[in-house]
Parts: sequence; C-alpha cells; structure tokens
Amino acid sequence: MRTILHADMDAFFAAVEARENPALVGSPVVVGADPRGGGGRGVVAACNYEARKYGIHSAMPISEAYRRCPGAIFLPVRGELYSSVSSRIMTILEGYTELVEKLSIDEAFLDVTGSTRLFGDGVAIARSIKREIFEHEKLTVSVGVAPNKFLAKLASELEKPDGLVIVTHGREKEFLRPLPVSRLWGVGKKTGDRLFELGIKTIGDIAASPLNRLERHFGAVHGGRLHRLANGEDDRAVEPGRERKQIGRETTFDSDTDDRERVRTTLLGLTEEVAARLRHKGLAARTVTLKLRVAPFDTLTRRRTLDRSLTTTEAIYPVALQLFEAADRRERPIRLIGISLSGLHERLPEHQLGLFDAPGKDPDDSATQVASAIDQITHRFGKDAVQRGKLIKRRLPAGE
Amino acid sequence: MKVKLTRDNFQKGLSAVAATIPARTTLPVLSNILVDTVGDMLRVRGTDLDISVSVQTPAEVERQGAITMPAKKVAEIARELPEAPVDLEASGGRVSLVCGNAKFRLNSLPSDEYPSFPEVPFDDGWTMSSGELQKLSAHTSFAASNEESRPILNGVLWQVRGTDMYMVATNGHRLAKMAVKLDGAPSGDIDLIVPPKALHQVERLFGAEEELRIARSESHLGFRTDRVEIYTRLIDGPYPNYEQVLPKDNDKDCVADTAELTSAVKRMSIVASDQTHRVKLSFGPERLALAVQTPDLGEAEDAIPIEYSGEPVEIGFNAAYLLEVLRYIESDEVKLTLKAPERPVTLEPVGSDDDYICLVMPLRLLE
Repeated sequence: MRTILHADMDAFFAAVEARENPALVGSPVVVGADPRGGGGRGVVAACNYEARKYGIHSAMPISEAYRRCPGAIFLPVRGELYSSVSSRIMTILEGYTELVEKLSIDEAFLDVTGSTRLFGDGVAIARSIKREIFEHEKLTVSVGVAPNKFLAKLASELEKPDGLVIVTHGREKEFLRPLPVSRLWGVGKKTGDRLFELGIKTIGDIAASPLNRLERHFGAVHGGRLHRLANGEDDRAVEPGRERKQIGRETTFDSDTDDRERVRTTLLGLTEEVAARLRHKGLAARTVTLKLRVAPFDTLTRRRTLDRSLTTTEAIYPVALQLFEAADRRERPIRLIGISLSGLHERLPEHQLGLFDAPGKDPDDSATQVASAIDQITHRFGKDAVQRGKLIKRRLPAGE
Repeated sequence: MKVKLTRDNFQKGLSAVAATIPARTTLPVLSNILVDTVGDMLRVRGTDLDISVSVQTPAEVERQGAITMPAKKVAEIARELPEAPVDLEASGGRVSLVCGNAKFRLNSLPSDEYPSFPEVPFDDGWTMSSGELQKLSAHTSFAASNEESRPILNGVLWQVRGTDMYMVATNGHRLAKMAVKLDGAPSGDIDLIVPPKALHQVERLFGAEEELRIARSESHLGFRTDRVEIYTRLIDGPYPNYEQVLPKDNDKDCVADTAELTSAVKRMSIVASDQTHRVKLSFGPERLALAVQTPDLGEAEDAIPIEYSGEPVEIGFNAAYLLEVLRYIESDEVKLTLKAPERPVTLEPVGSDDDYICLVMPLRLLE
C-alpha cells in the first residue's frame, strides 16, 4: 500500500504578503489587480481567509471584491517573491522523498512510501513537513495523507487552513461516503445534474450504484472512472519529472469533410478548450502546433513559436488558423484536426510593453479579462454555460 | 538555345538566383530557373512569386532561345564542375550541359510555363546609388516582425521626402529608423512597404557603387542595373504612425561604452529567463547596474561606468532586444535616452554622422 501526501499552501499569495507585513494579519487581504486604478478591471489572484468571509474568492472581478469589502487591503501581485518562496518550500518537500510532483506554485504530491523507515509513517512526515515549513517560512500548509493521489488531494482540502486529514487504508469508502458528488474528480455541472436526476447525491450513492448503471448513463470510460473513484481507487503514480510538455486536443470528423468553414469552426472550438485548460493550470504557451489529417490517412503537422506568451483564444486562434491555411492544400477532404500548445511556462509576472499600445493599457488585457470572466462562469455553471456565438449550433425552428 | 560560358560565370549566375527559389512549392515550375539569351548574354531568372531575381552573365551565344532547368540540381552540378568552359544546349524538352568530360542531360519544362516577371514602368522611376539604400536596409530591416499576426510589420517602411530618405522597421516592441540625405531627389514623396527579403537581395546582388534604377507599379517594386533585376511584391499600407511613438520628452541621457554595455548585457542574459530574457537596468549617478533574477535558476548582477546625471531609474528589458539593437550601433559609445520605467528608451550612436535611432520598449516589472 502506498502512502501519498498532498501538500497545499493556505491562501498562498495572501499569506506571503501577511508574513512580509505583519500589520496585515487579521485583516482581509486581497492580492490582485488595483481596484481603483485601471477602472476596477482585473481579477482577484488570491485572498486570505478573512477576505473569504466576505464572499471574496480568487478569479472574482476586483471591482466585485471591492464592493463586498471596501475595507480590505488590496495588494499587487508580486510574482517573483511568490516563486522564490515556492521554490524554497519545494526544496523542503524534496527533503522527504525524491518523488515530489509539483502541481503548481503552491501545491504538490509526495509519494513517501519509501521514506517511512527514515521519517516515520505518513502522518509523522506530514506533521514534520508542516512544522518545517512554518519554522522556515512562517507559512501554514494543509496536508492530506492517503493511499492514493485522489484521496490525498481531497483530504488536504477538508480542513483548510493548517489542516491535516488522514485517510487510512481500509477506511477509504467510509471517508468518501458522506461527501457530495461534486468533490469527485471529473464531476462538473453536467455530470452533477445528471447524477442528481438519478437520485445520486453523495459519493457513497455512486459507490453503491451498480457499475453497469453508471456505464449506461455516462459511458464506459467516464462511468467506470466515477465508480472507481467513488470506491476510493486511483492508481495514478506520483511523477516527479512530470512537467506538462503540451496541452492538446484533436477531433476526428464523423465523416471526412470538404467543408473548410466547418473545419475552421471546429478548430476554434478546440482552441477555446485548450486555452481554457492552459489558463486553468496557470500556464502560458509559446508554441502552437496544428495537426491535420487528410483523407485517406496523411498527417501533417505545422508549428509556430512566437516571441510572446499566449493564454487566450484571441491570441492563439489566429496563429492556429494561419497554420491551417498554410498546411491545407484544399485538394482532399479533411479527416482530423487538432491543436496543441507547448513551450509551456508559468504565467509571467513581467509583460513586454508594445510601442503601439494605448498608454497604460495592455492590448491583450481585454481578451485576458474576458477569458478570466468566462473561466469563472465555466467553473460555476459548467463547460457549456458560455460559448462563442460562432460555436453555438444553430437550431432552426421546424418548418423553416 | 546554344551557349558557351565560363564555369565561374555560370556558377555566379546560378548562386545569384538560388536564394529566391522556394524550398517547397505547390507550383512545380517554381523549383526551376529560367535560362534564356539576351543578345550576347545568358540570363538566369528565379522567382517565388513574391520576389523575382534576374541576372545576366556574359556568354558566347550560338543560338538564341530559352529553357527551364531544375534549380537545385543545376546549382549542385555547377558546384562540382571541373575548371572548364560550360556548354549549354536545349533541344527536345531536354537540356544538355557539358563541361570538360562531364556531360549531363536533364529534363526540363517548357519556358513558356514559367511565370512572367512583374511589369514595372522603369521610365517613370528614379535613379540612386545602391550604397545608400543598402546602408539603410542593413541598419533597419532586422527590426521587422517575423510574426504573421500583423503583416504590415513584416515589411520595412521606405520613405522619401524631398532629399531625405528614411527606412523604419519594427515588430511593435523595438524599432529602428535611419535617414540619409540624397544628392538628387526623385520628384514627389515616396512611401513603400518592402519585404526585408527583397532588401536583402538588394544588399547582396548590387555593388555599393552601382547606380540603381528604381520604379514601382501598383503592387510591385523593381530595382535594375544593366546586369541585375530584382522585383518584389509590395505590402499594402498604411504603416502604423511610428513618428507618434518616437519619444520626444525623454529627459534623461546616458552615455555608455558600446562594447562594455553589450558584454554586460550578454553576461546577464545567460541567467535571464528563457521566456522573457528579462534583465533589469538601474541607471544611477555615473553607474549602470544590471541584474537578473530567474526563479529556478538563480541570479546575477554586474555594473558598468556611464555618464548619467538624471535621477535614478530602474527599467526592465528583454535582453535579446537590447543586444540586437546594440549590434547595429557601430560607434564606440552609445547614447541612451529615457524617461520612466514603462516608457520607450532610445539608443543612438555617439559621434557618428549617421542619422540612426533605435527604440526599445521595456518589460513591465511587477514587484
């Protein structure tokens, strides 16, 4: 049996700010865009637990945060500071095992199965990590200890801040049973609604459902995964070297198509998806690769690397479209189209200014603003809650 | 067609047009060169439909005619030929090439399938020395954009106003502008947006002393001497208003040793982020401090003496942009002017007659 830890820093950016300036402790602190300058545009990057009491959360428009709590302390994002604190914390984690998989700037999985002889069991290691991080960085971390990644991550979320939740082997189902289905990985708005219609409200309800019923309603892959997770099964390994090399998505048309406009629209939809996943990971990309398969089975790929960071559909789609137009010889029907983003890096705290930008305004700003608003809505209401007009499938009223 | 020419002339003619032959093309005839006779000259032409080059080389013409030949193969053959005269003869859809004991017979496409060159009214054009044009191009075209998101910035703006001639190029993050005085002015203003590739051909194929005849049509620009012709498609304007972004209120001047500044930036750039190449320059009294800090890698700092009397300013830059611009500053000292951390910085040669200015936009530092 493996021992997996998930360590997740508590309100990381805000906590670092409070540590740098102890006068902030106890007050609501919001890190993000300037609520007054910039006309209240931009979003909350992070906030502390005091600010959350006012209903403020990350990705909320900064103007909304200001409305909810004008007395909060609003601070700019200091990316370099957070990265340097993060890398020191990761070094602490790496002192316990070589198997540390960094998920983002403030969370990581650890496989400590092989370290227990040296440092004691999972709980002892978790306590020791919490103590060491607090001693060195004056910051708190919530840790989940469990037999697999899924349970460890769930456990770390349960008692934030400064939490320590243990899921012992043999009690996985008991731990999961009362939790709402929305806690399951892969359950969003759509699946959640469907489960609700089936009378399934808790993870325990899913675990108790016959597998074939889930497969019938959610397909073999998704249904099977729900069932396994609900039963506390997850065999994904902790992969230390695992840096995301690329984020991609491709689709095969039902039948080979000559309709170039349809291909372009499909490409737009795929771009929208990969751009959202990119932002969800807090990453930006530099290289766009287009994959095109023409009938019967010839595959072409074309890529372009830009000298700027890409995060939005507005920035990525024109590049993808140019690659498509250059690759497509318009001779044969198209079977498959795909896009992938690589040259991935954390979103950079610095921004190259442009000569022809309006003063004080970032040209990518409005696209970035729209994207984060959409991300937020998608997060709350599901993937299809907001769509580009171009991607909405028109249903013509009958008789026309 | 039947001609005899020296191996060197044959090689020169081929290498002149080789750069315009597209590596991959959807139109098979474009991977060929067109070879024909003009009086007692052999003319070699190549095109990628955007840029067309034609070069004449002396030959003994026995029979006039025209033929196409596979460009890449013929260029490779020419490189390996022995030191002997070259005989070219076209007949029956094939071309034979004989040099010493080496004989080649190559398939060829009919010359009338070759795209015709753009028509440019040279009678309405103007004449200028190629050296001035080459100088402008060599100092500015590097700054044009390689990205296709704003096609207009892929070109170099070339303007003539009276006896002043300018070239300007930018990718929106850094800009280079140079001006020269013309001895004789063409009549009227000239505004052209020219692909840098065409200007590189102008730099490569004309001698600095040559007098060029230049003319434009609606869509094309042509350069011509007796021997060489270059045509290029023009990029449709209008070019963004660059004059508006040239800072007029930069109130802090800094003079640095060009070589010292270049090597300091180079040293710092090694530790700079691969993504932003960010380096921080702190201008202070008589001292420029340079620093980089890259998470996951480390940090570095350096300093050089400068002439500077303004108040201290810290500015972040993409080191790659700075180095690129510094490469073209040929004077021993370089003058930088600045105003504030997020405002454009200019770089100019010191003590040079060149009317040359480069501009670099900073990185916004969020700290």
